[in-house]
Amino acid sequence: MFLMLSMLGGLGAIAIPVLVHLLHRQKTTPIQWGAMQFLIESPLQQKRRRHIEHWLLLLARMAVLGLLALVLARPLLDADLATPLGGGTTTDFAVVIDHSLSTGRAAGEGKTVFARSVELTAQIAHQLKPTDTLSVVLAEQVPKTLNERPMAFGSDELQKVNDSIGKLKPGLTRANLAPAVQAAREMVSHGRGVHKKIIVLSDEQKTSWQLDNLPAWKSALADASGEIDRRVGVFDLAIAPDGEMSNLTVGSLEIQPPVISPNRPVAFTASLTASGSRPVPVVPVSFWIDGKLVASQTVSDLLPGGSRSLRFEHVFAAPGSHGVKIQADVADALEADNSASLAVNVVEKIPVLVIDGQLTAAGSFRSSQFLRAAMQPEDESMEASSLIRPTIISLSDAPQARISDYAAVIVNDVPSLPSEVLSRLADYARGGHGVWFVLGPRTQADFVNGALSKAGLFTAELDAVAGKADRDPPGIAVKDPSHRIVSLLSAAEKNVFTGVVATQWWRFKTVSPDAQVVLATATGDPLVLDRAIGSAGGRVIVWTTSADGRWNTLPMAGAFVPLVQETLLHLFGPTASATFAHNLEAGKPIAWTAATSSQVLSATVTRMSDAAITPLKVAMQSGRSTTRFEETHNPGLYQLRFVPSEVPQPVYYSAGIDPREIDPAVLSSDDIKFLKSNGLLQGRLSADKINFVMSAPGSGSELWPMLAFAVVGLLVLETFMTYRMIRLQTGAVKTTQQGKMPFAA
Amino acid sequence: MPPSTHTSTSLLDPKSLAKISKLELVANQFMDGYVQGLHRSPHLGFALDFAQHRQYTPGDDIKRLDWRVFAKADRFYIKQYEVSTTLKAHVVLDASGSMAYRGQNDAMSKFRYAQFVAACLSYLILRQQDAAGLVTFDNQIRQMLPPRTAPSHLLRLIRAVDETRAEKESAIAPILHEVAERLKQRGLVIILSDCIDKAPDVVEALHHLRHKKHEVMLLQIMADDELTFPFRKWSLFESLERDDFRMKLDPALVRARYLENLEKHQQILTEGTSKLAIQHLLLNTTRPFDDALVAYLAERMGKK
Repeated sequence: MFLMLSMLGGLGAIAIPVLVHLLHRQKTTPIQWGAMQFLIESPLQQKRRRHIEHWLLLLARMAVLGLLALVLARPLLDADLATPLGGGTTTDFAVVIDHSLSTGRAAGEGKTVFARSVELTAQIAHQLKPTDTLSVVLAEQVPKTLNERPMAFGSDELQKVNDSIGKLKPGLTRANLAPAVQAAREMVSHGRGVHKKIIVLSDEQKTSWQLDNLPAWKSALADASGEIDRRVGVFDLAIAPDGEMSNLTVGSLEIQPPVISPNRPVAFTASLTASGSRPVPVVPVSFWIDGKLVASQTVSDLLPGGSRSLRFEHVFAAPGSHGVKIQADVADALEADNSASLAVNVVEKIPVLVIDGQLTAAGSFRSSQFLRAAMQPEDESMEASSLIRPTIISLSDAPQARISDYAAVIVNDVPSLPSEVLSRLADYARGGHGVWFVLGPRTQADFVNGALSKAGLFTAELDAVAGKADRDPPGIAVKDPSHRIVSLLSAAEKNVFTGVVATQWWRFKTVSPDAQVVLATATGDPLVLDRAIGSAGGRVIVWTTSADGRWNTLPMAGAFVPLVQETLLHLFGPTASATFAHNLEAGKPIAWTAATSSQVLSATVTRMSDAAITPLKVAMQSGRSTTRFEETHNPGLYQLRFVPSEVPQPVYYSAGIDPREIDPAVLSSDDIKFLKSNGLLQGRLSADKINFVMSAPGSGSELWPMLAFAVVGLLVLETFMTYRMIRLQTGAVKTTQQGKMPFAA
Repeated sequence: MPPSTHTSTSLLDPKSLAKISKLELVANQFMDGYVQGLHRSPHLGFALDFAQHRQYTPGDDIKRLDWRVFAKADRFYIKQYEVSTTLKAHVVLDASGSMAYRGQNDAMSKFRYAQFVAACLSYLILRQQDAAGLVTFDNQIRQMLPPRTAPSHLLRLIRAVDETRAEKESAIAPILHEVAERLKQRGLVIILSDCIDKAPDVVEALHHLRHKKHEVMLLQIMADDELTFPFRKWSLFESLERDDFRMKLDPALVRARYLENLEKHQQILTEGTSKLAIQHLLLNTTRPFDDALVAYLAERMGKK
């Protein structure tokens, strides 16, 4: 086996002396000679010896070059053979330190798992052989290599790295060990040692080991041929956290309703779990809005594994961005999971566009009256305080409408729509918004069958208007009680649709299978269908019966208002949600874009947990100011502020703890077997067995020192032979001149 | 004839000579000028030189009477010449493969150089009305032209020299032994060879020649590369004499030993020739070969 296989190409250099020899031969000039007898009378024996010496010299030169190529290729001798030859060779070590949130757990002597990892790293650095090297990689979401090149034993850089990790606190994100091991392998591959060993210092939290991501491991340890590189040994050094500790985990915050407007109560619910092995005593839990303490409650006597929900209600006075935090004040095994935060956006109004197909002579939209009433149930005078703000336009105004200004669009009983409007609606829906088609008496079957399908909004084929207006009209049945639109209604004690009948409706010949039927007639014909569109959360809802009471009795029923409201909330999609785009996983960057074109001159971000302020760079992109902040590794709230003050501010972002990090599951013996059987893990160690890895002989010993010795020997021989040859030539001439050479007759 | 040829011996520079392929031309034209130039010296003389006066006795050819002496002294004297002591010179040319070697900076091969020397010497000898013969050999005697004095003989000699090719293995010592046996009349033996053979054997063969009362001149022709071994790069040395014989070696490594071997070889030759009173001359192919001619003439002078 060779460490630098490409250097074997240098064996071609053996040909050089041969070529020189051959070229030399070719240069032999023939001479027609008379005085052969004076040539013959040179002693034949000496000539032969010189001939042999020539060949030996050629062989020596070839051997020097060949051995030199072998030295550079660094051949390895099998371990079995290497041991009697001295065995011990250089090793490039890499330590991968799990820097995940879970390593903040205590691991005895008042130290965290991470602090123990740092200690063990120092111990490994101390135990290196003088020729060994060490690299240190912090396993976080993205691995962080602390040294540029493998560090030699006792080097200043090693000392610096040791000092710098000594100052680090346990991580706050999750750790991905596979890419960290990959980074470590890249580092050790830069080393010149024969053996490559990677020691993973972790709490063996299962989620960090990414057992479900075998491809990541393969790419971390596979060589060019795709096989696991057996020369790199990965060792797992487990640092178990204290078993007998209490721990309280504040789970993620839930918000209800999902759309918040000023002066309406909002409920924040957090689930608190006793994730340690000991019960959690009395713990005060505080509720913070925008960095101000708003309320507090107490949790007590949570048994291990037990959980409790805490609900905090709040009424936001002003629209805009707000930061919400729930903090449990407890000293337990893991500090990082004692709080949860959320950035919420309070909106003043949500505009909805209604395109009505029935403009009355009086200039009113008769068929949309019920919808408008359902959206704004309050008195007309209260219009300003209502959340949903509908705008009703006629079909002829539709092409001019700026639909992107609305959170949802209702197309109510139109015969058809211009294709240009339809395609805009399709783009709008794919962009994450909702479109609601209400089919009615004016609807043309061709519009649904052709244009709607063609635009990709809804694929179905209408049959005809069905119904029994005269006698026994069918009731309305909930087909999917768990669907968001009807979940609240169906949860009521009695069926809210009792007594509601559908007299007429469009019957489908066929309907796209991806459309979910929410409500249907008692006879089974779909009345309300829901379909997802695009990948951004856009939705299309189709009512096959009218929304104005002509084809059914829905508007007269008490369920109509919540049905419309829930349908719209469903349609608003994620973009209208209070938590939209401002709640990130820790480590993911904050990317803010101004809502208006007003230019932002400067921006700062404040980490709310420790009030650390960082100035941000502001850039212009498509006419809007944007800024970006990458360092969100600390979970918690981040507050953005801007100059000038006209820009709506502050803007809150929340970086949440990865819930997987709180998962207490660790590697089982089966998992270890799995890793070993896949060649990903060579061994599992305990802290007192580090020596085993540090001094274990590897898979082979390097031969180059011996070969280099042979090269030096051959070089000496070659020099001697060349010198001798030159001396013989010059010496012979000298002795002739002195006439001392005996004459061979 | 170009005017410069009369005055300058530099025309005997091998690089210049290499441009002229015909040996006759070199021999006739160039040597002509060369010899004439030397002729003016009062110290130089040839076979036809006057030897002494002798009292006329009846029966002597009256054509030989020196009338000038008779006029002065009123006595009859006969002029005596040394015509009867005609020299018989044998040019022994080594045509073995090793002679074909041509140095890196040389204008011509050792053999070509030897051919020129042979041609020039033949011309010179005949010009003195001595007899010139030729022996060419490699591992056996290839051609043997007996000495003649006729000027027309020059053409035969030169043609024979010119037609000879150096390619086969050499066996200098045995050939010299054979030459010593086959030359019946004693005379001057001029050996043109690189002497790449076992030196003691060569010396022994020379001794054989001397034993047969021959005057011997050893003109050893070597390329500069053979003398200095200047090669630096790895080389494949392929024998010029044997196809299957080659050696790949680093010249830097063997240079010392080579030079040492060569030095020993030369030492044996030099010592051997000096003991045998043989004039041994090492001719470097990068240099003009008038050395050889001067040496020849000096040799002849010394014998007079």
